[in-house]
Amino acid sequence: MVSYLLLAMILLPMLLAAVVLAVTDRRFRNVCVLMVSGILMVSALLIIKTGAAFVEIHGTLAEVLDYVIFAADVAISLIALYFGFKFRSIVLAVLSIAQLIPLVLFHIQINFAGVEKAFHIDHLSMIMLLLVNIIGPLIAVYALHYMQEHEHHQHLTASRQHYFFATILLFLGAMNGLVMANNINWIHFFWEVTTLCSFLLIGHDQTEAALANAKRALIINFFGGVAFILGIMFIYSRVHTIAVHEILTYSDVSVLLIPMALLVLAGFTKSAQIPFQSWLLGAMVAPTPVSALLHSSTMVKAGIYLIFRFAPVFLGTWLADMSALIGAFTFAAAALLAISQTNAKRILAYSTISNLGLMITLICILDIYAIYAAALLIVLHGVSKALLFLCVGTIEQAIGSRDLEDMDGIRQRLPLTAFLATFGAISMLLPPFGVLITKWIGIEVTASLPPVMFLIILGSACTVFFWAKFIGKLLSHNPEAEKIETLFLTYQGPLAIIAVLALITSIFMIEFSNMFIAPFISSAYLGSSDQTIPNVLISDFAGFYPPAFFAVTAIALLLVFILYNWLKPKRYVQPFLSGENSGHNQFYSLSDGKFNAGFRNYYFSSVLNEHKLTYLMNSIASALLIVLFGVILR
Amino acid sequence: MMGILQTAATKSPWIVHFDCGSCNGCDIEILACLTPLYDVERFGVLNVGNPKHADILVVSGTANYRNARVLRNVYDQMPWPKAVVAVGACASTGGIFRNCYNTLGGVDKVIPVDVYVPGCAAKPEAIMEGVLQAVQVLEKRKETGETYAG
Amino acid sequence: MNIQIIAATILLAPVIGGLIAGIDRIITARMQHRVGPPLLQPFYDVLKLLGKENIAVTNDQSLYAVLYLVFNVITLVMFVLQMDLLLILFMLLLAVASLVLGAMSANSPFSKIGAQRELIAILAYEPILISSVVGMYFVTGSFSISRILQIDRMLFIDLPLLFIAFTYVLTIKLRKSPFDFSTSHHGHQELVKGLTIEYSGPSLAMIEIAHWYETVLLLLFAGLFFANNLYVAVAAIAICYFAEILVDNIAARLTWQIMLKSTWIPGLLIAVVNMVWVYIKYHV
Repeated sequence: MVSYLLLAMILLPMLLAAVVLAVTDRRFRNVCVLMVSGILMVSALLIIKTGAAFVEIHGTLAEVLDYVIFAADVAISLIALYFGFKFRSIVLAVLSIAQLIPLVLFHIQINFAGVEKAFHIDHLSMIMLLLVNIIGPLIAVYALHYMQEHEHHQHLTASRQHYFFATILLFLGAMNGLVMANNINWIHFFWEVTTLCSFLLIGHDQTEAALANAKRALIINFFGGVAFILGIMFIYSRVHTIAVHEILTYSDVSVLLIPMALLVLAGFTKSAQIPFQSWLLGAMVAPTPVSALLHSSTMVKAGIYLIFRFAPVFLGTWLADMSALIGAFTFAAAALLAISQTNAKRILAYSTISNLGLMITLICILDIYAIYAAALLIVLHGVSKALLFLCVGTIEQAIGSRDLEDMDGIRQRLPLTAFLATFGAISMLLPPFGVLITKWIGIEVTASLPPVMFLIILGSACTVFFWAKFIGKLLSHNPEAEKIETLFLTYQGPLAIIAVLALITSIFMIEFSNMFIAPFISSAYLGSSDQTIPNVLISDFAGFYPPAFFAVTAIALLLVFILYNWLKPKRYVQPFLSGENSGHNQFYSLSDGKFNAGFRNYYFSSVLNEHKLTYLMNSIASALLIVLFGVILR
Repeated sequence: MMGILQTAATKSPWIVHFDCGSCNGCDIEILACLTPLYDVERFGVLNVGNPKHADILVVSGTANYRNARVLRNVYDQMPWPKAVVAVGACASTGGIFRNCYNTLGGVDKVIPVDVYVPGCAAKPEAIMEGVLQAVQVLEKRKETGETYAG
Repeated sequence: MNIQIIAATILLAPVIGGLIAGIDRIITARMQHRVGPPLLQPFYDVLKLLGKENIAVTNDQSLYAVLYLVFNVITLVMFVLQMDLLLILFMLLLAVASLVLGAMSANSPFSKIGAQRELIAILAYEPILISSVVGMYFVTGSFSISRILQIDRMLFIDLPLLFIAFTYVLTIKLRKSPFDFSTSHHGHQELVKGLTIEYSGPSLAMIEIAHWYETVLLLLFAGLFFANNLYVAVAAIAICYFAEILVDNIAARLTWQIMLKSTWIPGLLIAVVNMVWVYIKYHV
């Protein structure tokens, strides 16, 4: 049963990707995408229902698979090499060779051996599967209409949508493989597939900017890939196994510290931690569904997954503390940089980087609540960020701009989308929603590492600033704006579903934690190592009770509703312009001409110069990374 | 309950001061009311500078074609109940500018005026007396439930 | 028992807050050689505002004023119920956020500038407020007020620098001069009341009442530093608030740049110094 589900989740999307690529008919493609989406959602739920399990593959099939995956992995490196020559990028060429040689050598060394228990579905995999297979397909469905509009704006002679959807399907299949594989070589293969897919998706529009940013994404992620393969070789040379579950049971931490550092480095590149953040920002040139996919459920979460997977091995060491510090630094620095942005997508991108930093910090803290918070944040952030990106994409299609300053009166122009976007932003910032609660836990658990905590404090202040500006703009009122929203089931439908999911995940955080995170903690953290972490449930955390938060908020809203009915404005007047109004927000100038009173948000572009600050932040983060490796490589 | 609201209304008249191009004589006297010597805050008077918070509009200077629109806007942006005090000869009647080619005359040509404070310039004591009379007007408006009349 | 406490808080806090505001106005007047308004003047003001017409620029603007009030009340109730301090700070943030959103929703330049300035103020005071809480955590080992109150030491002795930083940002939080630039109190009229400019009548009254709750909450927060002795705490709160009034009257308005620099560099620095020594004292 489980093996069929695995086929449905990994192989089927990949196969249908080939079909979609071959058959360019639009209707057929839509049916394919909808079908795969449905299958992925159902299979993910079924696989979770079956519970944690190992899936064994024996005999010829296993051997064939090992060879196929090796060949495909080599092929990816060769493709990268090809692009290295095509773009005349020496760095890329060198990186792809640096990946290719260890890959081949390592497989010769282990004699193309495989792992009997090829797949391991534990509760961390389930959390990731939920995220990938519910949010991912919804984004794909949304993209059906979006890409139609997108190509309409581009005035293409021939549609390139079949490339797009083939890549998306391949991507989803690879993510499923990544989070379930137990053979670390296979994880590396799926890892490289996601790298390649994101490269193709970022470069999809074939514009100069798109290609340049795609190249950058490929280079940075290939750097991570090289670190990954070197990490694998180190692990094998120390513990002689490539099965993840065996590596995790290895008790002597000091032996595995160097390879773990390499894997963490790989995770940093994929999760766009400073100084590797530039590829994720560049990825903004891609069509919005791509940004949504990269930022919420796939790609960046792959890096988090890798670190989370191996965290039990190195928790409590210098490596964990330094990683927590780098994560916290990214959290604060990205939030600070987000303040200076006017481009709505870039604000969201910086917010993603910032939240990924917080996730890494939480993962690397030796505290059970930190683990709970990290796992919760992965899900909560994934859902909210998918919603936000899709909303910004819809707004961009409608008004032709992604600049926050052009979004005055968006509430009247696109009521539903603006409402959902506001909801998404509020769920990222304010109580009673989960993201803030994980931040709260973050501050409380990092009391053992004051510098980390200090950075989180600074970061949360900056977070408030840029989110409040964002929400304020979405809610601003402009009486002259007219409604231009058109509704499609496959367009706003996924948005509404994701919004409902965001609400549900926040309300049922405790049930979610008990169902998934608690078993994960007891199997991954408590089973093997000594009892440094007490076995408690998230509901034991002081004052943590989301239903109560929601109840209080609901009562508050009820009160507000009653008071508001009494307070309803009796008369509408124009805003105060010293009496000089000549219309709503319009005034007479000296020469009796009419002028609009314009007002922009503050962005501090002179103080917070993005270019200079990025340089500074990159230097600091690189220094931290060097210190990390310097200490570990003794 | 309504009784308490009415008493409160008389104890906290917030004023907004609008200058229709007066010679500044009256304006200085209006501001003098806020100084330690007269201290109108004793009566709860605050100079809020914003029509949306104000109860009493205190106008100085002659209404003319140019400022009539602005004066009207400021008056419209005040919440009911409200009262208007015209301070000084110019605001009351147009004063020495009365028959100029560009003037309309007193501010009552543009908005309904409740209290006229004579003088050129009006004395602070007179202005305070005018404001406190406007408070009586406010109280009466509150009692009769007179609604906004544009 | 809890319900009685909650009811008492909700009813008593605005009375206390209003009286504090009245005392504030009288002391301010005396400092300026004036007689000043009667003690109950803030109550007269609010009652008058409640009886006035509610005019607005947009229809949901009053909603945010109510949200501001309700969240301030909830925050104060949470404080009185001795819950987690960090959570209380986050709720307080929610309250301010509603005020900012209300100001931004009205399409008015003055209120939008006020909103941006208030956001800058949040950016300035939030790290120090959280640092104070963390400092208390280092001393007492808990973020929850009920535990902090059980400590038999005076927190001020361990956290003097944090208390100084806290009183500094208290000026910003109470929107008093020299940091009153988001609402512009008193005679400062260049922003014509910034944030609250588009509110009138009952909605303005809501904001005023919410501000009373906020004042009570912040003064109680200051009292936490002296929590083991009630008399000292009350005296400290009184001195603290008197100092705020004094500064309010003698200081000219500063720019937001100076505010941000002074809170983030010297302010956070002394906060960190204090946190470091407390951490070493109790945890190393």
